[in-house]
Amino acid sequence: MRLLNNSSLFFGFTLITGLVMIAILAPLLATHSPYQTDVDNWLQAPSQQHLFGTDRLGRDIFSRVLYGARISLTVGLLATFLSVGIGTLLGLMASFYGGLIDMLIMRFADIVLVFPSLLLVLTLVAIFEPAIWLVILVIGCTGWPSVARLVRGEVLRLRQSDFVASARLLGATNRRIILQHLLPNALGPVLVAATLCVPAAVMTEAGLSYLGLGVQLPMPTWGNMLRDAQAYLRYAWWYAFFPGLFIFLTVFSFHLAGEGLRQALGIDRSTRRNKSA
Amino acid sequence: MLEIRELKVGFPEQGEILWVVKGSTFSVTAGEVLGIVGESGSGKSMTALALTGLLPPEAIVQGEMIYQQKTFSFDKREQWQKLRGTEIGLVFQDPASSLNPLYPVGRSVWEALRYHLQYSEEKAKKETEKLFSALGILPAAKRVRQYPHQLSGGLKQRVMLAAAICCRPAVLIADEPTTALDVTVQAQILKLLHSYVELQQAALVLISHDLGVIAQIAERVIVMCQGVIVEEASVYELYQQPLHPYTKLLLTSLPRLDRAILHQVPQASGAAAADKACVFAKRCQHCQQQCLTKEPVLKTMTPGHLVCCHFPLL
Amino acid sequence: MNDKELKIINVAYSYLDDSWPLAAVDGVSFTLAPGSALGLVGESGSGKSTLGKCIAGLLCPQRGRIIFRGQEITGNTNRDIQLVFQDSATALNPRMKVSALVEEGLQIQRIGSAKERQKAATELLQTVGLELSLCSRYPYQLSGGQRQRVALARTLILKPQLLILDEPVSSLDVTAGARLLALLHDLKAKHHLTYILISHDLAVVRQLCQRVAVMYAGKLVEIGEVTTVFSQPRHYYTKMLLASHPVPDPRQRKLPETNIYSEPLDPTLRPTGCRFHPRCPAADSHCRRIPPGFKEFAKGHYAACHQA
Repeated sequence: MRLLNNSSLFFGFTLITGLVMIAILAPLLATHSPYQTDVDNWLQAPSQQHLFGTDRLGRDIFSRVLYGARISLTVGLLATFLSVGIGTLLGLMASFYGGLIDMLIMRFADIVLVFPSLLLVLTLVAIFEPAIWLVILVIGCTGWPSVARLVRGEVLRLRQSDFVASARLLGATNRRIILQHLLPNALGPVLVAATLCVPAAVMTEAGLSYLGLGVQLPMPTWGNMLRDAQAYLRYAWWYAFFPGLFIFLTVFSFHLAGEGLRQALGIDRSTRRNKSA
Repeated sequence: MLEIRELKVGFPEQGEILWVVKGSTFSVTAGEVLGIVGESGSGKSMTALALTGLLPPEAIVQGEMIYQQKTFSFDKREQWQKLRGTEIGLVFQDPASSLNPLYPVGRSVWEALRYHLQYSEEKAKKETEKLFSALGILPAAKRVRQYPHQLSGGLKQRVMLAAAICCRPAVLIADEPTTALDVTVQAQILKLLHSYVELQQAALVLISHDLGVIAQIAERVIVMCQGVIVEEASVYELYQQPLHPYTKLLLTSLPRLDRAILHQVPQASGAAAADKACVFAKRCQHCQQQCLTKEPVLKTMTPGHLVCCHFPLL
Repeated sequence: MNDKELKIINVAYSYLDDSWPLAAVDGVSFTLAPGSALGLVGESGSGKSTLGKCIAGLLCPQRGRIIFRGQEITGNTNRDIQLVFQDSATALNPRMKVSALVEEGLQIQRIGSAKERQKAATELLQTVGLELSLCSRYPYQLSGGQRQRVALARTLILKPQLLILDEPVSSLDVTAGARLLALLHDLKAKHHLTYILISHDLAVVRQLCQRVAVMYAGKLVEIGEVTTVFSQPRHYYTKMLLASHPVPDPRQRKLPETNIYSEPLDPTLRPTGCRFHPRCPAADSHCRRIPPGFKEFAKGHYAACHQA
C-alpha cells in the first residue's frame, strides 16, 4: 500500500492505464473508421465532427490516434519484454558463471550497444518487407545490453551477500541460488529499467515509422502519422500536434511511473536499513 | 554549567506526535563526566542530537537549556545554535561518515578554527598540527594533509575529537564515541576524552550503550528507557546498588570477564499496559497493578540518587 | 582420531587485493574436541572471521588442511558445519518469509514432506524462543534479536554438529544479547553442539567457551583454557586485550597509563619477526627479527612469544 502513497508512481500508473484502455477500447471510442478517406473534407481543423481534425486524405485524426495507440503500445511493450528477457538471461549467465562466458557476453553487449539500430533496420528492411514484427524484433534485440549490465551488476553485488553464503552452507545448488535468492532480489531495479524501456521503444518505433522504415501506411501509428503531417506543418497544426501529444504522454507517464517505482523501492530499501541499525 | 529542563523530542506520525524523549531534566557541571546509558530506542541519541541542534527538521523539540545563566528555548533553534562548535563540541559514533572524503582530514579542524576564532590560515594550520600531535595523530605534519581513507578508524575518531575540541568548548557531547572501535583503541580514546575534561575543566556528556565504557570515566550516570530517565545516581552508587529494576537488568545482562553470568533474562511479560503505565512495566519482574495504571515520577531516594519507580529495589 | 571433532592444520588464506596478496589467515593450526566451545578473539583485521569462513567452506584456503571427523573437507561446505553470520540483517534473504527461511535447509536436502518440514520449522522456532505468529513476517519486520534467532533456527534445522558463531551478539542490545547467550548455552547442551565463537568481546567468550584462541594479524598467538588464559595471559597482546577490556565496575577503573598512542594493527602491513612487536612494550631486537614459536605453559596452554 505504500506504493500508492507515492504520487509520481500513482499518476504515472493512472496515465498508463488510461492509455492502455484507449488502445483496447479504440473500436468503441473511435468516431470514424481510421482508414475511411473523405478527400472532400481534407485537412479540416478540429470540430464537433472531427475532434482532432482530419488529415490529407480526410481521415479522422482522433480515430487514427486511438488506433495508433494499439500499435505503439504493442510495439513498446513487446519490445520491452523481449529486451528485458534477453537482458536478464544473459546478465544472469554472465555474472553467475563469470570468466570467459562473462567476457564473451559483455563484449557482445558492447558490440550491440555501439551498433546503430537504424543501420540494422535498413539492412533488415532491404532483406524483408517493413513490418510490425520486424520493428519489435529490432528494438527488442538492440535494447537488451543495458538490462544485461544492470542485472549483472546487481547479481555480482548480491552474490557476495551473506544470505547467499548461508544458502550455500545449507547445500543449495546454483540453480536454487539463482532462482530463489539472486533473481527475486535483482528484480526491483530490472522492473524500473523495464518501465524506462517502454518509452524508449515507443520513441524508436515512432522514429523508424517517421522515416518510413517502420510500420507502413495505411496502418496508423503515431510515428507514421507524424511523417505524414510533415509537409502540412504550416497549414494544419493539429495534424502533427495530436500524435505528438500522445507520444509525449506515453513517454511521460512511463518515466513518471519508473521514477516513482525507483523511489518506492529505494525508500523501501532504506527503511529496511534503518530498522537494522 | 549546563542545565536541561523538560527536554521533549517528538516526531509527527500519522497525525499524532510520537515522543521519543519524554521530558528529561538533568544538568552537568564543569569538570564532570555525565554518562547517559540505555538500549536502542531509549532516546539517548535523540537527546544528544537535540543538545547539538542536529535533529532532522521535522522533529518537534520542546524544553529549555540553561547555559551560563542564559536560558535558551529548544524550539528556537537559531538562538543557541551558534553555541555549537565554540561552546559545545560534538563527537560522533561513526568517524568514517563524518569526515568528508574529498578534503584532507586537517581541514575540518582548521576551518573550524578560522570560522569560530577568526584565525589566519597559517595560524589555524599550525594550531591544527599542534592539536594533532597532542592527540597522538602522528606524525602530525603529515597526517593533517592526508585523506580519511588513509587513516585507521581510531585515528579518524581522534581527528573528530580534534575538530570537536579545537575551539576549547566548555561542554563536550560524545555520542557512542568508541562503539565502532577495537577495545585497545577504545581505551585510548576514553583516556583522551578524560584528560581533556581534566585539563580544561570542561563538562562531558558521554552517551553509550556500554556500561563498561560508562564505568570507566563517568562520575554521574543517567539511565534512560524508552525516552524516560528512570534512574540517576553517582557511578559508584548506581553500579553498587541500582534502585530501578531496569538498571539492575542492564547490569546483570552485561557479559563479564570475571564470571559467567548465564541466567535467564526475563522475556517481556506481555501484560497489557495502559497509556499511563511505567515504561518498563511490560518487562519488569516486579510489575504490580499500580505500575500498569500510574506513571511513576522521578523522586529522590538518597541525596543525588533519583529513581523513577513505584517500588524501587531497596 | 575420533576424539577430535575438527582439526585445522596450518591453514592460510590470502585475499587478492589489487593483485597484491594479503595474508588474512597465515598458518593457523588447532584442534577441537566434540562438544567443546572455542572462542576466537582478536581485533578487526586479525583474520578471525576469514578463518571462520574457511572452516565453513565458504572460502578455500590456499594452504593447509581442515579435517572434520577424520575426513578432509578443505574448501567444501558440509551440512554438519554451519555458520551464523555477524549481521543478521544481511544474512537473511529479504524476500523470504521467516517460515521459508527456516525450512529452506530441509527443502534443499529434500528431507520430509511439506507438512513434516513445516512441523520441524515450527518446533525449532519454539526452541529458539520465537512466537509462531512471526512465521509470515519478512526479516525487516523483525527486531535484531528476533532476526538473530531466525538465523540460528535456519542453521539448526539440518542438525549440524559444529556451529560457527560470528559475533552473534555484537549487534544486539545488552539484554537481548544476554538472552541469546543463554539460549546458545542451552542449545549446546541439548543438541551436543560444538561451537566456534568468533568475537571481539572477551567477556562474551568467557560466557560460553572453555577454550580461547587469540589471533593477531593472521597468526594464532595464544590458545588455552579460558580461565587460565584470562587469569595468566602469556602473550603481551592477550595482556593488552585484557587490560583494555572495560570492566563494568567503577571501582576497577583502569585507563591505560602507557602506550596510548600506539597504532592498532594495519591490516595491509605484515611486520617481520613477531607481528605484534611494533605495539609490544617488551619487544627487543630478537622479536623484530625472528617469528616466535609456540611454547607450552600449562597443559593445553600455548603462547607464541619470545618474552613470555
